[in-house]
Amino acid sequence: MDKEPILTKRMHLPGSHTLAVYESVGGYQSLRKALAMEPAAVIDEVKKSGLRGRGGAGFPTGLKWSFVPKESTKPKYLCCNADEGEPGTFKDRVILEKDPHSLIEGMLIASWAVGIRHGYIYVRGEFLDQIKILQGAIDEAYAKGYLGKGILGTAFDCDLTVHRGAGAYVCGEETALINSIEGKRGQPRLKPPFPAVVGLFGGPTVVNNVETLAAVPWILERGAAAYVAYGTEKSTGSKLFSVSGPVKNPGVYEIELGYPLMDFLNNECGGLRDGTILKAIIVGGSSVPILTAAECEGARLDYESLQQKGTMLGSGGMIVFPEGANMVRLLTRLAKFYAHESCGQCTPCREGSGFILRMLEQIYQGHGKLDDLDNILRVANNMTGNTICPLADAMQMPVVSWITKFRKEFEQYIISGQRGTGARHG
Amino acid sequence: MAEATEKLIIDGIEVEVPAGTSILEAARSIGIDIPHFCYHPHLSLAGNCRMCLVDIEKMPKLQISCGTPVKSGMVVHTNNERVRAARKAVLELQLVNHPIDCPICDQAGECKLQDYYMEYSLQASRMEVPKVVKPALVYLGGDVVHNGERCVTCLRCVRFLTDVTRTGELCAVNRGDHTEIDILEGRPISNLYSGNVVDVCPVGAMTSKDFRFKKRVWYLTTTESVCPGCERGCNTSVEFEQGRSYSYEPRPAKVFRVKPRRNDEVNKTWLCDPGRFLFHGYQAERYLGGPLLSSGGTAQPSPWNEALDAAADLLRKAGRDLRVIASPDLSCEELYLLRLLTERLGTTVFGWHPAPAGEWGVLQDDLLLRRDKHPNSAGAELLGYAKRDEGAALAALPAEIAAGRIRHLLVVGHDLDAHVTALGKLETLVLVHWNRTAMAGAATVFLPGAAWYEKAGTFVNFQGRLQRFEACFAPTGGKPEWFILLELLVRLGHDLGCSEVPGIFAAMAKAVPALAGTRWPDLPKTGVIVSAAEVAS
Ligand SMILES: Cc1cc2nc3c(=O)[nH]c(=O)nc-3n(C[C@H](O)[C@H](O)[C@H](O)COP(=O)(O)O)c2cc1C
Ligand code: SF4
Ligand code: SF4
Ligand code: SF4
Ligand code: FES
Repeated sequence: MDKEPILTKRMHLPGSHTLAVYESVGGYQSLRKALAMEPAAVIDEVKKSGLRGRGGAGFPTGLKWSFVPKESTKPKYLCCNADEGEPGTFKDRVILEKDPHSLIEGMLIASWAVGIRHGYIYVRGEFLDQIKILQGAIDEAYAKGYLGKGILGTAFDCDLTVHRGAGAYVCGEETALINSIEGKRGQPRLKPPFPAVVGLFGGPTVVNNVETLAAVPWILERGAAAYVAYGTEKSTGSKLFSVSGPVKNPGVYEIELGYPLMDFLNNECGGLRDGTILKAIIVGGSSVPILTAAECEGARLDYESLQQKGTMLGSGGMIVFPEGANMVRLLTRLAKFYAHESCGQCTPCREGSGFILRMLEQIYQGHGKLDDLDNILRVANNMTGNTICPLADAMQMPVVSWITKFRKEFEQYIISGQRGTGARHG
Repeated sequence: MAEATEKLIIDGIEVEVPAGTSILEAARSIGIDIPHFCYHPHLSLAGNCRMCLVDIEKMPKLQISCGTPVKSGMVVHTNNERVRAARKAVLELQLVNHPIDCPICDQAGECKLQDYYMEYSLQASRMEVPKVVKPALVYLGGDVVHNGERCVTCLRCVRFLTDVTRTGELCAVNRGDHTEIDILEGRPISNLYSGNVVDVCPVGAMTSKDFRFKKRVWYLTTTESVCPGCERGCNTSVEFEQGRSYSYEPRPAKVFRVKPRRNDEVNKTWLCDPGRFLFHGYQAERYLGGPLLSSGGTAQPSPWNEALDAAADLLRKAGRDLRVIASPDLSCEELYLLRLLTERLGTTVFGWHPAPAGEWGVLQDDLLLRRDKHPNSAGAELLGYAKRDEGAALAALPAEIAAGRIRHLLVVGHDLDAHVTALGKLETLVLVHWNRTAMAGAATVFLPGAAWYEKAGTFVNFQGRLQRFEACFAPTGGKPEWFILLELLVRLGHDLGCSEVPGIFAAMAKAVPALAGTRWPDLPKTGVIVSAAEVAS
């Protein structure tokens, strides 16, 4: 990124996860500043920054905070979504690992703004090391009076609790996450009521992604205008992308929104490995529609441009596919993930996901028929739009885009009578 | 203050309903039944089956009618192309893993999946993939036997035990199309309402241990009844098979099951298990013979006319010396006739049925079960019977008999087996009972009565609600108590000029101020309040 990084600027410092290093570069000054402001003014600043949710849906953050009723008989809660389950996504992880205090500070500012006294961080269960680091940072913050009672000598009290997930992708959906923290079966709730009104333990609740919250201290420190100077008109600021696949330098990058996809691939990621040709890219996590190499030309990494291309920015989990990748095998593997992760409440998602998986498995194992493809598309399209949560859509989008865009390859596979090796694919 | 209402159009018909009503309920109020699996009026909203989708103009997506409240100005289509296509899609998906074992499924004939498939789908299976295999025979406790493969995962059963009994024995385990309904190990369903778990299941995934494989439902006839198990008077449907005398294998009519009948003011859509299975006890212990006349110490079968004549003679002779024991298990009509009879003879009612003893006697909770285990205590009070004395007078019975203060006794619908020895000392015992209890041996005349499902009548429940019940079939051997009392009255010179329950009801309504203006044919299905609500127990 040409401009000064927002989210990643401290990550190269040795011991960046410690309070001492965080404080040495101005850490917790934004909190000080926020506590001197009216809560409503903090929400306003975040609204003006144009910050949008980085968990996938891109909902305006300031607006979300403003939905929480000011007066509430029940305690209000903040839930930080650190479940990071979307295949291809591993960007929240680096924040937890390298800059946990920015998340803690962001959560404190959000809590002050919304009138919250207790926050939960719901962390993907597999993040064992990250949980240790995060808990260490929280302990340090308590010791230094950034958390707990009378924060920074004000009347503001706030506690943070780390809650370790048990491995279900669907628990990243905000209401399933809430159920899970409550100790209930991790399945999404029927909305309305939305969490802003009835959420955790029945109280009004804000759910935000790690990256969203980690951007908040910078916005408070530099002002909304400085944030708006990054990115495009509607997609302001910067975003983390986690890149996997046969590129020379896979990893996590911060880019200014609106950056051209191919430039990002060639300049930041060093281009594809020698001898590989680009076949397709998933830009925003495995659930967004795939882009063919041709479609990648001219694509820009911001919410609107990608929507025009028929896909989504999503979580920023970018997966690059080289020529020669077996799309039948890969889609079957992906379908297996979604079918396995469907919570099973809604008929279309529960039955459709399993059905599509079994159809794809049959094809992959060499027992497919040509009209299976239309049957899969029909069922996939019957799955979407009418379920309790968007997981059904998250499966439909890849299934439909892959089969439509690589139909020839699927047909060829079926006609040639290929057989996937091994009972288990992927 | 008038309730806020919303006016909308459903399938071209204008409807006005209270604000907050769901589209599904609004449609139901004008007779449009929107297909649904997971919605249940007395359970929390789940919105998971997606069967109830409707098309609302100006909304891009179809919406679930169970979870969408009405708004004025809405124009809703419940059965257009788009909706039908969506329903068909949901059904197709429901059937992906369904075994379609209707031929051996108890639910066949009353199954929503089967009905909707016939109505909306009727397509050949395009689902050529192996089905997910699940346990198909699991006893979950209480009356509940589960077949996982037939489950449509609507979670009604889970919600019933979470929302209503709050015992929470059932939960969904696993995910996706491997989701199953199960109990935690070693913690079976154990509450007094397990039968409802079977009722709420819209398909054959929860079957009744009691009813399983006993009868195909289309052989059953249904009669609207009221449970006689306690003073709540839950509304029921008694389902029975008609008797057959003509076939190669004659068999008497028989009750096969009792189901709740919706009455939001009394029992919603629930029944307790003891009440639900009460018919078994009656059916098993029913006395199937005719009247008995005692002569020379032995009971001899007697034709009805002769037995009634003999009984009337004895009563007339006893006159004012006759003592009467009534029962709050009798209907209002029967209690009314009995009152006329005592008035005719110038005598009084001596006693009253005490609460049944033992565990059943004390069962009560804040859901349905009431402590008073008689269905018509409030009716009896309304008809001028003394406040229930919980058996104090009855306890004195043996002493009264021994002292010769009681020599002639008429017992209607009451079990006095505990006092059999004392009864033997009576000069006259006229006994009317559905069951040939031990005391029948001591009876001078035994007139067999009828079980509650064999007669029509009314009960007044603890809320002061008069509720009507109908007869399923005529008793074998016995006669309804109202018939017996009517006949005795005629023989004692009091002819009411009627021969059926509606006629007795009319006479009673004329005589009892609280019932003024009520008419048998007009009694609402959900009953009518006739006396100030009783706050007992
Ligand atoms: C199946 C599913 C999984 C999700 N997983 C995550 C996740 O792992 N992390 C996340 O931040 N958001 C996830 N989301 C999105 C959340 O529901 C929610 O929109 C988000 O946490 C809101 O935060 P934001 O506004 O800051 O993006 C998921 C959504 C769905 C439907
Ligand atoms: S869409 Fe799928 S994951 Fe989401 S609530 Fe429905 S069944 Fe569960
Ligand atoms: S067993 Fe019946 S009630 Fe329970 S979830 Fe399955 S279909 Fe629904
Ligand atoms: S609660 Fe009383 S009236 Fe209702 S079913 Fe049970 S016994 Fe019968
Ligand atoms: S009845 Fe509405 S979603 Fe099931």
